Amino acid sequence: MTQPRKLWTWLAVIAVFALIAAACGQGTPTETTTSTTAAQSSTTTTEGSTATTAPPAAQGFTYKMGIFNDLTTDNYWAYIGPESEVWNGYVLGSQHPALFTLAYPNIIHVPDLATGAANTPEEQADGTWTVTQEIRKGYMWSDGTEVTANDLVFTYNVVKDFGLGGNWPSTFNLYVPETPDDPATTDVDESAPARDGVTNIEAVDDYTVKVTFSAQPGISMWQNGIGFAPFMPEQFWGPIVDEAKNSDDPAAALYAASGEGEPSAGGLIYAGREPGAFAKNVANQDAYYAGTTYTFYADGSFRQANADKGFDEVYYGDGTGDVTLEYTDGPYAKDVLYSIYGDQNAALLALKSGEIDFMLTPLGLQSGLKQEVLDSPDLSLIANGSNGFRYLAFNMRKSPMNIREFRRAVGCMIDKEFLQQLLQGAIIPAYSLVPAANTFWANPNTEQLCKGLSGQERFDTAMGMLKDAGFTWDVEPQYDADFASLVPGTGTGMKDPDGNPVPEMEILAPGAGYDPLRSTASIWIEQWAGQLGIPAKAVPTSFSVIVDKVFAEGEAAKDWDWYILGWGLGDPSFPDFHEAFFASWQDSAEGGFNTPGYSDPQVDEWAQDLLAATDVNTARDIVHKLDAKIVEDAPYVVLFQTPVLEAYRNTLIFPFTDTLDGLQNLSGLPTSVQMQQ
Amino acid sequence: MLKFIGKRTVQNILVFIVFLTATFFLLQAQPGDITDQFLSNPKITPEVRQQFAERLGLTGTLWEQYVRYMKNFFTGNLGVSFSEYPKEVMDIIAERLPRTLALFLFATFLAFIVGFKSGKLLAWRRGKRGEHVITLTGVFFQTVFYPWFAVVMIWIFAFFLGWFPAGKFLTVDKWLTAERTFDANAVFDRMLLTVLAVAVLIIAAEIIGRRMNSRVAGRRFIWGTRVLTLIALVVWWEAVWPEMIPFALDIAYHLVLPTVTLSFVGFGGWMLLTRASMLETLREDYILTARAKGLPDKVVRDRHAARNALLPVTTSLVIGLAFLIGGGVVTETVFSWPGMGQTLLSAASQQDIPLTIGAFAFIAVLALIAHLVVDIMYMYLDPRIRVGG
Repeated sequence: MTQPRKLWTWLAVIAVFALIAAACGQGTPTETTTSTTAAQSSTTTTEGSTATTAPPAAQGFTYKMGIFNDLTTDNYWAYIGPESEVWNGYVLGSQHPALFTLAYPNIIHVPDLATGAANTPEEQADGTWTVTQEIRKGYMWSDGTEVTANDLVFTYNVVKDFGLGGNWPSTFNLYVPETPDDPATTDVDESAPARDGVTNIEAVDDYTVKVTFSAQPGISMWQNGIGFAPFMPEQFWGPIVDEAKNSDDPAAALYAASGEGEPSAGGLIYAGREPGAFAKNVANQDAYYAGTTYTFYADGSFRQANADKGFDEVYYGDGTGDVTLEYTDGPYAKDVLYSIYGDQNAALLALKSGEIDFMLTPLGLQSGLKQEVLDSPDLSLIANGSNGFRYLAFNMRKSPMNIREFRRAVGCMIDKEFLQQLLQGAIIPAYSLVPAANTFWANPNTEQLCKGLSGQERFDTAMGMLKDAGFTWDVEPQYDADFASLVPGTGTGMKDPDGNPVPEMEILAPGAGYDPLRSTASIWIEQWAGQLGIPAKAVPTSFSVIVDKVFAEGEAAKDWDWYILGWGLGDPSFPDFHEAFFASWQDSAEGGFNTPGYSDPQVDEWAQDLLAATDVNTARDIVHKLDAKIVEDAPYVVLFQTPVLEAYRNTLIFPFTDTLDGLQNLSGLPTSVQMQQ
Repeated sequence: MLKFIGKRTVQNILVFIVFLTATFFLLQAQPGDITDQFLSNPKITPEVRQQFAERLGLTGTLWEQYVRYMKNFFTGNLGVSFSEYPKEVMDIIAERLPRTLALFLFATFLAFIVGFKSGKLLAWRRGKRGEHVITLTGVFFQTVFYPWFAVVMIWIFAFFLGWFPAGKFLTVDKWLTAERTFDANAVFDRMLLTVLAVAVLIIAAEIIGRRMNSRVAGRRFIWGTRVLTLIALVVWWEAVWPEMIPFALDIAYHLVLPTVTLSFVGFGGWMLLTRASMLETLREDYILTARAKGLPDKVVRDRHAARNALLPVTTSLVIGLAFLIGGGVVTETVFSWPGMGQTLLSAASQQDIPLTIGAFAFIAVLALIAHLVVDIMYMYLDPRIRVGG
């Protein structure tokens, strides 16, 4: 009887002791501190600095990355189509060439397959516009076949003939003819105007592509549209496409095919996966750009040179002067392993133990794990601004949100720097629509409404705006600077310039469980608005419900007041989102993306000019003007960006770490990362 | 008896239809649908979203969608997943279910055995010092904040001591470098089959052994069968799936830490349930009679008390088993074990209706079968229970 009891007692004591030891052990500070930013790391580059000499790199290593979801497909058609998951992109991306690409970290539009900068489309006698572009000779698929213009024609035809969905139609900007009204249904108008786009792509010869557009193409349709469209290897997909054509649903049949064995023209070749566990790419040492040296100059010019391939090209200048960054592309790793983890805690333990080298996740490292990375001598932490913003939007279809000064007064009261402090650095205050880190496109002169003002100054400025606009109160608000709040009993009975009482309004924002940042912001915005006597109330609301409400069409578009959401901005090399979000023809009440219902003839004109712009400099001027005007009119009040935190082992050598959206946006730089010996 | 089973089966089918209907409409009651994911991309036009919706069968009235879905379901077509289009729902479940079953079956049985045995001892030694320690330990594990506890277990045994892997179900390097013609699921399937075969043999031996006239012969038979089963198991794998052995061992090695962690958390519940049930039984007159007859303590405890106390515990186990395929979101997340729990959560949050209903339907079918089994089992475990009409 005694022995089992003793055994149990000892087991219990040991278990409790082990738990206590574990709990204490996790918080034990380490003696060694480590480099925590790119600036401190042993390798190269920060913005504006020249590359320094890196330690000798080990060649032929395995670059191990942790990802947090399984791939849903290994088929590139499906990835660009209905399965456009970021996890698929990390593994499958960058294996298909395009006419043009982006040179990071400066986000410059440069040739990939094209032999030079984008040619200018020319108008034809029939009203269409055509452009021809030569492509490089000797650009090979990994199976030894040459990439030719026919691959693009093949891809275009499959997208068009199979009616591929997802991102394919926008990638190819397919022309949509006018839809006539169906005379059989007299009560419904099915007619729709034609939508301009690509009407044909043909191969003039193996090395010349000819694209025909229904109207003059802007940057988004040509350079950043077809220019970024992937070339799919016809020799691999041709037989699969032929087979799919004979099935009941050709698109589904194509998506269902396996992409294993598909040749690559990029630095990596997809080499398979074990569902639920890992995926693998191997290096393509014969990639066209393997061994190419990229040089960025202080004057904005860019050089890419590869003696073996016989090219030395300079764009956006003459390639002289101070060098801000220079690196030579690999691949240096012999293979890249994407290991799947359930959560970041587990992945961080794996990172610390050397099981993986880098955590690859679109949202970055959870801020709760930041200190643990900082405490580890083997890890480095980097932070970059994300390519997007969180914003407060007003429903301008209703009073008083349709009054510019009202919106600006609310915007003035929002102390973004205070929010940053309150949220312990988990946000970056933002004032412009184009993120400031996108230096080429961001307008440095965009108004920073009430930035740096004290609570009293904000209150006085905002009150001035409201009074100028004609707002009145039964009891005018008084600000108590000592308590940073409204003097009790004041600020009641607010009336709009027509003398109508300002109704109670709701601020829809995701709840704390979904996004504590936006939830916290909404609570403070309620308070700040309240200091002006504005009866707005934060209502934690499910993300889906907010989306449903604010994108509702027709009269239902008036069923909300204010909301807080965010946008990811997609292609940073041509931020043309102003048109989608703010042009009057994009009113969400009619199915567009302009949720506030903002309408300004000047903005509409600039938006049209932006879409029609054919050169980057013109487009940049327009983006600057749009940004400044919209920020001043405040249909949105841009609130903040979230930093993308990333952790990696110190043994890695990246050519740069300062880049918009972090290294995850570049899939962890698998073809240019090196490893210390 | 057959009449009873038939009647319950019909009832279960009706319940299942109600369940499917309720699940369908509850999922549809969520605002928006899966095409909303493209709202974040202004370049995807409403027409393209509409085409996608048509492709997924999201057009038409709710009633039309419901009828279409039920018709497909009962003709064996669970549809294609919206979030992993165009993968069949059945293929996705077939891919993830073995991983979940492997982990949670082992953990549940281990927790059950430890919990039942310790609960039995606790009740028998009621009032002694050890009872408080063990009860407190059980309550601690029953109430511990599980995500924290799992991370602590990983930290101690994987990171600090390095005895077990920190997560995942395989060693990536081992699987990566090996020449093989099978995937992990093939190994999982064979492991589960093996465990099932071993369990059947051992249980059969236990039943036969206990019915033998001689206790010694019975024990020898039971132990002999156990040893022979183990030998047969090794010989079978060596003969039929030799190339899979190192990979099966690798998976088994990865199973240890999550299984032990889950068992720690689970055993407290079984222990406390068994203890309560045993204490109830120990107050019965027949236990007093057994003691008065001078039967040894072990016989009174194991043959008279524990067997009767087994009824509610077994019921709980059988019904609990049905819900195993739902997996556990926390366990699967912390241990990087991609199974049905994660799949269900992700499908429900992405409004992947076919996949969500498909997974729930599996759970529902198993739960209803479990209830039927429990009803039938009651009659055998407790002769006092008789089936009414």
